[in-house]
Amino acid sequence: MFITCHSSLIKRKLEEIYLLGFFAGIALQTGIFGSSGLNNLVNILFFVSFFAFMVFGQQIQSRIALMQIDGAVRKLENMRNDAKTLTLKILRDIGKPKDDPTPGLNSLLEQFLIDPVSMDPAGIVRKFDHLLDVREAKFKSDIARIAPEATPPQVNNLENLVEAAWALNYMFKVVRHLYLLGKKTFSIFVIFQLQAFLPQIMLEAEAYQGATKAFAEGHPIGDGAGALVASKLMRGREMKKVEKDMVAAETTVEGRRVIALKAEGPGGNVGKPGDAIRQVLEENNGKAAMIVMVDAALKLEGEKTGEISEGIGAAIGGIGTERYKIEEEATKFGIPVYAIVIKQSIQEAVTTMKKEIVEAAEPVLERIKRLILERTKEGDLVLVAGIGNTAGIV
Amino acid sequence: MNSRPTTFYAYLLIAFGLVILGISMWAMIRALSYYDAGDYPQFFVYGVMASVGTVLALSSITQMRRRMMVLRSLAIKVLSVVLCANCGFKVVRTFSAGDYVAKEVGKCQQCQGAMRVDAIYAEEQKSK
Repeated sequence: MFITCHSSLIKRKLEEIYLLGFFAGIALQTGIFGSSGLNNLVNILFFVSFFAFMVFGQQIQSRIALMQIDGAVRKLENMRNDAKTLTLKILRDIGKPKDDPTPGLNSLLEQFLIDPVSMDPAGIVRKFDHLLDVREAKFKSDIARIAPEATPPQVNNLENLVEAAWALNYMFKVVRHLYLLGKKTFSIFVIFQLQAFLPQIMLEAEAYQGATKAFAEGHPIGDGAGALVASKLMRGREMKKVEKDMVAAETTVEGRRVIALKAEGPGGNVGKPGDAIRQVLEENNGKAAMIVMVDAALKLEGEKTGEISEGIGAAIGGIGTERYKIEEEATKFGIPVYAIVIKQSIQEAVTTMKKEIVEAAEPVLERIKRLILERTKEGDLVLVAGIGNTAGIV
Repeated sequence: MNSRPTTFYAYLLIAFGLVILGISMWAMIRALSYYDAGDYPQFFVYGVMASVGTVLALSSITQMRRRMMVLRSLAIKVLSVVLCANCGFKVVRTFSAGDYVAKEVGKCQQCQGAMRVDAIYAEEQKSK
């Protein structure tokens, strides 16, 4: 069986080679580029390349794609190494560890989370929430152990920094896996699929590379647009801690009580806005006239950075546990939820906040005031939740 | 933080690409002159050389241009805007480690009110 297969393959190849020779002979005799001297060479080259592309075209394309992917894998590896080096440097500078932090960091970079089983989806949000709590607590305590001298806000920034390095490490490993698989099997489907997604993967990797720099320096990032708006509302007011890793401050807008909420800064932290909103609503017996959520949102290509949009519903990202909680509470008490988003790209969301995003904060405050005036009456309670990473923002 | 990735090598490679493009153009002119003179073998040799050179030079220049755009976008300057809530006196200065929004950073030069960091943002370097 195998012998038959091989012999037919060899036969086909010989026929192809013979065909090439045959056409080369015709090329030499008729010659579209003339029929003497150097022209013969050009004729042969033309025909040989024509038939070579016809027969081996797909393989040539696959090889070119693999070369491109190889370049991307190397670039990703460099990005991963740079992020790791920067993280180690910051861990040493801030944490002043007595031992070498490299093994600890390596272990964090290889950490994983197993999703809860979804065959019976009832109660999956609670399970997810629990797993995320455990993961965050372990991550933070591991970082605090590696960097013993770091203050709590610094631990938060280090946690974000390690997470960005983790993302780069994961991306590198997945792309390398698919590249080696494509090389091993020479499957055009694996190779071309990876090549098709590569520009997007590289953009995301570059974004995470920028994020490592932002977290290392403690800059506010684009995702913190909501936190910035809430911070502006809270300015000069007394802040109190609420559930979980969140702060709240009460202010007055046109005779309405406004409670602004955001994650506790200035360390990189997103908090648990769902829990915070639940606590504030319970403290006020669910008597809120409106919840306004401000968050960063991904813009579509062609949209301007810093553009503001209004909508209905809980504006919050993540895997959905916090959104679930907010929707539950809002439905339970019959409170309308409004969303205001500041548009930005994925790169802008995880790198140092751009001027356009900062400049969008004041118009967002104006919109919040307008919403409050239009939809509530004097004496009402309004919750304004500034969602997002509060790195560099108090 | 001021990160200014060097664009020297990108400029050098663009210059190299331009030189190759120049040589290709010269080869193309030669090829055309051989064609006029009826020397077809020389025309083909120079023609192929010029075509290959032009394609390679244009491709490398385009790639370098794209790379330079990426480098330019990485060259960011982070600024802190410090504002006096009393009189509105504003100072825009380079971000310094430890800055965060709403941090008190001293007294106002004009009214002695508290100066706070009002915003921190990245500003892209303007092309010269």
